[in-house]
Amino acid sequence: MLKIENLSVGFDTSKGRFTVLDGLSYHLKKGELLAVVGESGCGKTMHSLAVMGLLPANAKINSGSIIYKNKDIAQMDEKALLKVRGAGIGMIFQDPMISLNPVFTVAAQITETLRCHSKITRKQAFIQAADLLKKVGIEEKFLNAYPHQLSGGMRQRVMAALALCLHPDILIADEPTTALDVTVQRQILELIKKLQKEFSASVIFITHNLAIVNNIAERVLVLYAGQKVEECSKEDLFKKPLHPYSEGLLNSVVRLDCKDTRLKAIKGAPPAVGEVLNGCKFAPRCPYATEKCHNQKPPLFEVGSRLVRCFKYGGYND
Amino acid sequence: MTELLRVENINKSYVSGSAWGGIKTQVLKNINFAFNKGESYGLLGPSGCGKSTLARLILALEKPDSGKIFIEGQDIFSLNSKELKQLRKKVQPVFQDPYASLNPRMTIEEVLSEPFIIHEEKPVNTVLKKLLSQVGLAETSLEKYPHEFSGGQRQRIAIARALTLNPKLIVADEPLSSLDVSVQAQILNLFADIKEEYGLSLVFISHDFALSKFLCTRVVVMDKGTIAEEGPAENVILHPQSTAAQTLLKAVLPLGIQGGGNV
Amino acid sequence: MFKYILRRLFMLPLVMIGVTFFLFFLTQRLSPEMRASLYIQDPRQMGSLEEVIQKYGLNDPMPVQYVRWLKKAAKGDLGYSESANMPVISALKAYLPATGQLAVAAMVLVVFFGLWLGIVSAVKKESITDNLIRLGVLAGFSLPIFVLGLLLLMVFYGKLGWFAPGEYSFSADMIIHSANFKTYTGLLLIDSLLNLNFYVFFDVLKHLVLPAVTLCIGSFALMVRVMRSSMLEELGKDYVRSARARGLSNWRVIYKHAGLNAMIPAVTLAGIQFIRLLGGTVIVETVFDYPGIGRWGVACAQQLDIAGIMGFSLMVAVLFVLGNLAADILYTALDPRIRLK
Repeated sequence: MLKIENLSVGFDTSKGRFTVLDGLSYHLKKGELLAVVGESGCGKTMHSLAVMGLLPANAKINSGSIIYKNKDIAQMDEKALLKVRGAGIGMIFQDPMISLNPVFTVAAQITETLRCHSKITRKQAFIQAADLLKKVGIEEKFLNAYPHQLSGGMRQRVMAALALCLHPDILIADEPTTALDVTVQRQILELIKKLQKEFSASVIFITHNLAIVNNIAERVLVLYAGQKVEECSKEDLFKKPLHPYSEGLLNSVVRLDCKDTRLKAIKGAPPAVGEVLNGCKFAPRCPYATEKCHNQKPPLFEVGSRLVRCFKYGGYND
Repeated sequence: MTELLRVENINKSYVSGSAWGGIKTQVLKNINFAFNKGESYGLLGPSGCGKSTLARLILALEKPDSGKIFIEGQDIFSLNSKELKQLRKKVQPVFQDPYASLNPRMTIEEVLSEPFIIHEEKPVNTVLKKLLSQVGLAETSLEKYPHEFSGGQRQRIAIARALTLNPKLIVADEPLSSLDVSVQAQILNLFADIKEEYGLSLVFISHDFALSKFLCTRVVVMDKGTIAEEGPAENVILHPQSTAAQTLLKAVLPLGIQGGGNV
Repeated sequence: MFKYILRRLFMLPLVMIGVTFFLFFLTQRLSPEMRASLYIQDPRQMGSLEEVIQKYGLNDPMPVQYVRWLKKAAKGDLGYSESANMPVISALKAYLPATGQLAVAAMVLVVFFGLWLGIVSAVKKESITDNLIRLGVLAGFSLPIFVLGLLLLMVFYGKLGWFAPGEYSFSADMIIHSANFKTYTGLLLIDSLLNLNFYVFFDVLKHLVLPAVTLCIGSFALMVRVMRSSMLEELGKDYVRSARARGLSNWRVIYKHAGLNAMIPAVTLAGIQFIRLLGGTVIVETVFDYPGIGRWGVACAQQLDIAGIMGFSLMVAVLFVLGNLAADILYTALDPRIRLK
């Protein structure tokens, strides 16, 4: 469905040009639910914006390609991108309060999108919108409501409807539950799963929350400092994380049945923006790091059907 | 076992809208609980249940409609301004947003010295440095400004600031919510460390069951301004009796890790 | 909403009394003799100054005089304007429509160009266009109105003869005051259209251009500045990004999505600008010899026509409250977050 090859994204600041995504590659299969996991600064949001062609003015794609339907999104001009956005790839953003236009009603925002892409009458568009909102679980009486009149969970449902109204092949969900109350989280996750089946879409789910990953993903990509450090199935990740960062992440989450008084946290902090490291980017924090790790950049090694960027799995002791 | 905090029959409401007829919202109703020195207390509940309001009352930042709060036996709402100032040494906050809780125009040295200056004591450099090292920050941080630090580091600074005058109680209002997962673990460990080292108590506000259970000995689950359930952390969190607590427990997504994990 | 408007309208009598009282107080600083001089046309009648003072009670204590005026005003009698040679009420009726026309025309220009230039400025931030726009409105703001008015008059009337002072030309005058021309609203622009008389319409328009432009130029600066910063803020918001993510065209995202939101604070500002504009009419009408209440107000002040001054200030107070109210209503009407709680 979507093939990303060696994508590098950089952005400009007053202090110079920095790389936020460093050679990311992966392949999204039709109908699958891929989770992209990482913390702030790992580049996960930038990657989703790059796929949509929505990078902010000060960022740009340095190299690499994003192949969708045999065309490279990274090379497209604005006109071509307009056709891809919404109709080919849809996106659900993190905070539904600020992601919905406050002065338009819910129905109006959907009908506008529908009518922009096809020549249907206002009435037809309204019927379609009503239908769509029903699918995401919003009752008819809220059709003409404004975003501020709805709860957080409902707003996110509207966002989902908006993202899917043009029946895209791919749905990118960028931390859709982070800004929501914890009791609503589950509902939204179930909604996304349901919609994925109904619309036969492939989903890229971006999050930093491992519990969510466990509940929604089929395949997982772990990002660290702009690079993919592990790629495997969800079960594999939780049963036995291979990369030390993945392991550290799992250790950082408090489980309900935890009996310990301290967590095995990852020490230190991710590399600062623009910091240049000679070896593995995780080495300064890694409990297993060796001399080689600090001096050489590890490539991706294959471990069965998995990929890991760590010397532990290939040439550790050379 | 001396009692550290007692909350008695607290009621609090807010009036919103114009002065000509606003809507009165009852935010807290009949809140009662207490705990002893050395214990840590969790305030759990979904957003809007009133836990932040309760935190502000405990910090004596607002006054309740009725009811009393006793800290080490003192009725905090009947104190005059001089006594209240002394009280503040005992109870310190750590807030949720590390980007908003530090004054961007003050260096870290000024931030940490301020509590001393307010209470007419002289800030000693060695003490400040010790505070910093205790929260895991370098001594050189003193000359820097907040914007030079990450979210997790700022939260450490906020904790250091709370510790300056040796408080007996720290009220932490969702201090981990704005942080990344790996940083959360570090700060969580830090809270556990200072609890032990300073022998202080913690009022830990959160919506996360697992976090509360990790840090607290007792918890109270709030729902729409009232107490739904109260008791030892293990009991309430793992075997909730009330609907509100059960709903919260159901909302916890299972992690499904088999073996390995924490040490 | 209705209650809200009612509450604000309660303000009206308070403001009216406040403004008129204050002005009355100022006029009382003049001696009774000076105030009596208004009523005397012939210098030979100087002897009867005392008579005049007695007749009009100009020596009475101020509150007494004020209440006297207030009582009459409450009944609708605002006195006689010596400077206009007609009752004050008639003067107001005669001159207000012209000013209304002028003010509305200027407002339309301010709002339309202010919003549009603000958007352009924001979208092309830091470009040459942006800087030119900002420089231009600042220049317009810095020029005193009368200087600008005189300059425009000199160039466009004196040299080019495109536009002219006054409200309408002689030929139009004859048409307007003929029996066939029916007065519907008093606003010549509209009346001429209703009479289907396009000659008069374009004639009035021609005379309206210069004063309207002079009046509105100063107000652009604030309007553009507010709209620009509001627009910049909106363009950075997430809903703009999510609108783009749905494949909506750039034009639509900028004008419809960001633009409508950005407009809200700018348009409320317009309500307050309106009042500022009214102040400007005093100068503009004088420069262009435009027969509105501004020009009449100046005449009243120059001739110490106290009744006229009071009538004028009463009008100003009313317009002030209504202008503010309109601004507030606009704000509520445009922003659903405030309209529907």
